[in-house]
Parts: sequence; C-alpha cells; structure tokens
Amino acid sequence: MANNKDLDLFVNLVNKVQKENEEKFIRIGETEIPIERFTREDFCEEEQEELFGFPEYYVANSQEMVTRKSEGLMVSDASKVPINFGLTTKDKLKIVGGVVLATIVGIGILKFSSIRDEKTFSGDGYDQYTKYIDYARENGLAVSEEGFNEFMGYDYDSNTISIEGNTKGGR
Amino acid sequence: MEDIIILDGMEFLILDKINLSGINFLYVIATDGSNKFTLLNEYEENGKIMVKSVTDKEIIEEVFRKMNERNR
Repeated sequence: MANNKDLDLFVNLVNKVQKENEEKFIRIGETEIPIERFTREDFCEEEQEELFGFPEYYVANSQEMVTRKSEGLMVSDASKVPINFGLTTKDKLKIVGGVVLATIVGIGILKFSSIRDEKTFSGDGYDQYTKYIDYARENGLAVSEEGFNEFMGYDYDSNTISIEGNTKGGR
Repeated sequence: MEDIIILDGMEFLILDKINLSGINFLYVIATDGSNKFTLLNEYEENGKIMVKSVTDKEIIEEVFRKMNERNR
C-alpha cells in the first residue's frame, strides 16, 4: 500500500492519467506506471472512481444460492452502501419500556374516563333520569326539564311518583 | 423474505429481483461497506438453485434498465 507521500503525489496525478490503447497509466516524468500496479486501496474513493470505475462490479462464479434473513439491516437507497442499523439490547429495552409505559397510560386514561362516566351517569341521579325517560315514553309525554323535576318530586319513602296530583307506583 | 445472499463467503444484500424471459436476476450489494455490487443470474442445476454473476454488459444494462422502468 502506498504511503502518504505517494498518495499525495497520486492525488496530484489523478487528472493526469493517460489513456493510450485502452491502457491507463500514470506518467511521472519520463516514467510510465501502469494503473494495474496500483490497487484501489492506494487511492481515496474519488480517485478510485476516476481510475477504476465506481462502484466495483463483483464477479461471482457459479455457486449454490445460499440466503438468510437479515436482522436489523436497512438500506436507505439502492444506490448507496447499506447502513448497518442493528438495534442494540439497550435500544430494544427502551422500545419495550416505551410500549409498556404507553399501554399503562392508555389503560389509565380509559379507566379514568369510565370512572368519570360512572360518577356522572351511575347512582341515584342516573337511575332516576332513566326512569323518567321510560315513564315519559310510556305515557306519551315529552321529555323536559320541568317534567323531570316533577318526576323527581316523588315520595322517597313510599317510592311513589306524584305527578299532577296523581299517585303512581314507583318502579 | 430472505434478503441476504452469501457469495464466496461474503454477505450481499439483495436490493432488487426481476424476472425477465423466465430468468431470475438479483441485484445485490456488499454489506461490508465496500463498493462491490453485482447482478446475479439464478438457474437450476442438478436440483439445486445456483447463481452466478452476469458478465455480458448488454444483459447487465438491459436488466438494470428494466428494473429502473419497473421501479419508476
């Protein structure tokens, strides 16, 4: 592998690569050095592209096809070199922890909502309102706040409903 | 889907696959950070699925052209 000094020299010479009879060479003074004497690693990426062509076409000889599923390997673009994006154990734990936390919060929100609903719609007030609705429907009465207030004036002790002077049995 | 193929002991990522005239072609790129890539021709031999790199420039160009057309 060429040393740094040589590489500096080669960088300056990249644009001076000669091409004659389909052969590439670098001329240093009177000396012509065939490109084949150098390897890709002797040059930086830009020079490699200039001198050897980019990217490098690999020729695989005939062989049995052996494949496997990748794990955490992603390619952002087909024209780019793949990027190793494997998740570390720490990353995985963070993700799992986040999911668990989100689930706990979600469940908490649901429970809170149902508890709030139960407080709003359960208990004596809710039962009485539904009873009023049923009563109004059965008697062909329009549901109204006044009607509900009247309905609420039933006798708790006897559990009877007194509306318009009429006493009806409670439900 | 199996998306890594082993060639000569090296792992290549299968980026694209296309069937032209009944022949499967695989566009693969090395996963070791080098700039190696190749176009493989898949075929069957003695009951085994084999692959080898396409070396005919015209075929290579045609296959990539078809891949680009399909992916457009």
